[in-house]
Amino acid sequence: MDIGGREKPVFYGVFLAIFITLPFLVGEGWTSLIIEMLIMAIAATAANLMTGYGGMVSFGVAGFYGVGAYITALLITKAGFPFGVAFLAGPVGASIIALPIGWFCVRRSAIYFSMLSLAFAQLMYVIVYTWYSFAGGDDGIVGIPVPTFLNSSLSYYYFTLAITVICLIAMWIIVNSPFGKTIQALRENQERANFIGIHIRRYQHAIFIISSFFLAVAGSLYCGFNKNVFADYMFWTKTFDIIIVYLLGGLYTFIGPTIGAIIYILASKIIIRYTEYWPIILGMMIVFITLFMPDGVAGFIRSRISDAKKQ
Amino acid sequence: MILEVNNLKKCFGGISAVQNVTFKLEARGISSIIGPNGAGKTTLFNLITGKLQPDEGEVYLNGENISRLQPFQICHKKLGRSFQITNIFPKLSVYENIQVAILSSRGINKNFFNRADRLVKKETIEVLENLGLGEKKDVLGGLLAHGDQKLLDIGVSLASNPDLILLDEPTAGMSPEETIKTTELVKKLAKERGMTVLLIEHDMNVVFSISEIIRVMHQGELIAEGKPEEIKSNNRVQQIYLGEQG
Amino acid sequence: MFERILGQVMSGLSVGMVFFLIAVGLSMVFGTLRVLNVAHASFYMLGAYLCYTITDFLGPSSGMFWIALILAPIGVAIFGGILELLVLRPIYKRELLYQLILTFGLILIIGDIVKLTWGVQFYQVNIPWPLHGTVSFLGTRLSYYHLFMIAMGPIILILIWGLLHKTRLGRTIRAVTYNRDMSSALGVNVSLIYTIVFMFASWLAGLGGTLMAPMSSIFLGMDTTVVIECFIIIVIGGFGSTGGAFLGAIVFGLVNSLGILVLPKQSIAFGFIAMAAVLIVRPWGLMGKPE
Repeated sequence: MDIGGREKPVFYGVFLAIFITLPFLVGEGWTSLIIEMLIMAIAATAANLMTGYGGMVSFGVAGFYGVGAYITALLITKAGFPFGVAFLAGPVGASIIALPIGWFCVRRSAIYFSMLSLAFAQLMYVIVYTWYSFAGGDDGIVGIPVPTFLNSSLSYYYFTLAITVICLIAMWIIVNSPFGKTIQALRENQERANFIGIHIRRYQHAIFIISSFFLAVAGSLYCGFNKNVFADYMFWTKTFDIIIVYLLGGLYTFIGPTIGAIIYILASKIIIRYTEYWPIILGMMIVFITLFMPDGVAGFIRSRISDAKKQ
Repeated sequence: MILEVNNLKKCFGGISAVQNVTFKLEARGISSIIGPNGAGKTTLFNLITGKLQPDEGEVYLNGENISRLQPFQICHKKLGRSFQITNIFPKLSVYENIQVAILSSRGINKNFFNRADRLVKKETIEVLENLGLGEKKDVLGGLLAHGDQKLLDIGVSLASNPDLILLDEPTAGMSPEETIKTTELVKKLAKERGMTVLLIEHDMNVVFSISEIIRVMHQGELIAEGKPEEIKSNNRVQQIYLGEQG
Repeated sequence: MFERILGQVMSGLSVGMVFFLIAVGLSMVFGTLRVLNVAHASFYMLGAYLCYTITDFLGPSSGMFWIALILAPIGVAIFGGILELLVLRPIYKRELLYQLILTFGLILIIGDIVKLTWGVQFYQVNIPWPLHGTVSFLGTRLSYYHLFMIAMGPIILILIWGLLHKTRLGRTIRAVTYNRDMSSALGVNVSLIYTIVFMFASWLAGLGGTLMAPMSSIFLGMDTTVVIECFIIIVIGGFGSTGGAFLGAIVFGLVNSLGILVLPKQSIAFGFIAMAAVLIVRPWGLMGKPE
């Protein structure tokens, strides 16, 4: 299946140009909003590497997102590292942590994998939530200094946009590489993959680590954006947010999670302005999507396009 | 001797599915294993290809003991296997099904950076043409008709260019035309590529027309082995198997 | 020291029993309907709120709690039945991910419905007559209500066991759990069984909520406080196993409450450590069956 969608370089070039000029067209409030969308796009695409491409449903994705944020925050506030180093250390550190966690998780399949990844993420949450002296406990870490050239909304926007583009391109290359095809084969039929020479656990472990890496990039980005980190970043409700985003956008396409991020962040911020009852609206959206559009918005669009082509 | 099976035994909860099976397979050529349902044929395949571990006995591939290896390791030793119940990648296209098998056999599948579509293009198309599935290359595997799915299954095992290929009921559920197509493919593999082919089959026409050696299993044991004419005239075989067919 | 430990054990067991009531319903629904319904936690919350409303309506006498104990779970069961008929049926055949997310959506919806109906304030229900007060035991004081809650656990367990093994309905439920298609072919109305099991599970969760009400405040967000804990219990006990839910709940309750003595701040970690340990060593849980 052409899971990547029919990429049109021109289309994406225009898309990118729009994003580059956007801050000048909309106000600062909106710029912050778009930063959040971009960060969520990275996180959801990263999580979808495991789910949509690998067939592994992880309930622990927020854990690695939070780890990235915390590593960056701690290195800056406790160890005085410069932002750039701390920012890179987030995903690197998360990958190192993902090594043992992933090793255990991929040895279980289906619901057990999901539960184990949840357990590990919750453990990371508890560590951070209760370790007051080191990680700020339930107060979190606030007032994280960011270098002056990144201190404005506008400059952080371009920083985020650049990182997002780099990450999305990197993940795109990975899913279209032989490695990516192998991961998809594992999603489809593990037994058959075994018989064509694929070492199942090793590949699943690899995609777990890669996914965690990019999740942590999103976390580190968010840390610099918000200039604070809280234990909530790792809590299971954040995992559900990310899952809802990639389901909403479409988990069987590459661009789906990004679309989901845009819709989700936009909807949540707009609706919250008018009513305090955002949960019930989100809940209804979720029920609608799972019942009627299981392939998400992107999947829905794609099947309409292919239906139209048949006629 | 490309394959040597010695005293293989496998029990499931007290019932022996395979017992005392010993035979040697010479390189090149086509041979078949026949027997009533439940004779242990697929279990034998599972033991040879690493899906099951034998309770007793050994399997040697080209002189190397592969009895305790995992399927993915055995695949890299140039042994391919197709399945009785089609076992393909349903949401991957026909092209991708073959492609991923070739990439794996070449060890390229660890590659993160290149576009997969640009690699092994020629080889993939070649396999598809051999199967007669070239025109359907973009169809999702799961959407193919049953006969084409079985062909695809065979194709996936072919893609790694094995020296020995085990085909489990390759013509099951196929129409007469598809059966002929498959039979021709098998003959071609043996002749042109010098592959050794070991079939499990129920279609006696196929078995007797292409096999050089036929082995008969019954209740887990190998009860007869020989050329087609010998098997046809073997009384015990007739009694147990052919006789049951009426 | 001993008194502290005993006190913690009692507290852990009583909370554990409430969790048992919630978790066993979740486990039964998973075992029979093959659906993991996270919104089960919402039924627990509904039970507590209904308990408040009923006791509030019926007047100040704290004996009214017993009427609420009967009525509230029934109310939740009815709500559950309606939900099952309208919303849940389409997802029985879907993958786990969709079930989880859809039922999580239901948590959000039900949560806001509760907010709309009852508002954001915290509510209290008094410990009912005659269970006020404490009794002296081995040098420590144990609350009568705690003891009552602890007693409810085995009572309900026996009730469930009796239902499943000694009644015709129970046999039918077990048949459907074991092999749905075969039961259907033998003339069993599988849809009806599904609804009955779901309503029974909702009743159990509502009962849990009602029992919990006098122990702590009734508030929005009660649902999310039990979701993950239920997962822990079912993982430890084994998916689909009633006895497992009981055992898992005891283990969870004790691990948590005794953990407070060891590492007070990090005590919540122990549940997750136990969960991870079970998944790594014996994923099908203490009383589940390997698939």
